[in-house]
Amino acid sequence: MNNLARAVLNKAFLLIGVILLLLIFAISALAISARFSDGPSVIFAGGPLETGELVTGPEPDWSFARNINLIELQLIEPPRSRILWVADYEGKLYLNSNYMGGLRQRFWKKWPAEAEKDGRAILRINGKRYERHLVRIKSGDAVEGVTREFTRKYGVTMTPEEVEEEELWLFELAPPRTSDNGDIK
Amino acid sequence: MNRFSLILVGLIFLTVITVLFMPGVGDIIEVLILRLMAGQLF
Repeated sequence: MNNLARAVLNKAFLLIGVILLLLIFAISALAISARFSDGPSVIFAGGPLETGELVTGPEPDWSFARNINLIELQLIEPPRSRILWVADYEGKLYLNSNYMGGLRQRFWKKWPAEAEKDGRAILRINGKRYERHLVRIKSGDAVEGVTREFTRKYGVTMTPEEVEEEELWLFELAPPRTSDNGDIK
Repeated sequence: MNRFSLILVGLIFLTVITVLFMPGVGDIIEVLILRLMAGQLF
């Protein structure tokens, strides 16, 4: 390789390095800014859900969620939000988390384990917020119905076997648990 | 600081400002990442 070719190659590597560096900074800036936002972006977890009427009182009729593809969910601890799929089955709402057996779960998805540890959450649908308690569903009659509903609604394949193998996690968005003095537990 | 470092710091600053404050730029990057993850970039 002559000197000219070597110099061109060095410049090309330098340019690629600079572009990659700028990309890393751009993505980091997006990820950090999302953390301070009211709600998540498409990819990055957001901050606490602060705007929107907080709906309290009797359990709502969730059938309207059948026509809603994406919801925002914030855990109370840690107070971060993300966009998720939702399915309604027999009057209850359910969330899913796929790919739980792979590397992505270890490096990317932390919320399912956090939700299993502390299920207190706020759900935002159509600009309204609802206090919820996430309860992981591992077995029972609901598993088949919920996986069937996710499969129908989103055109993907979810099966009870995946739930059994812990590849797919399901959560029920149950009503909040309150103590005797009315505080959320 | 040599000239290259100054240009690099300037570019990084410009990138961050553009991504955060130019409407739509962040959305485009996120869509590209999603398509990349889905293997549908091209």
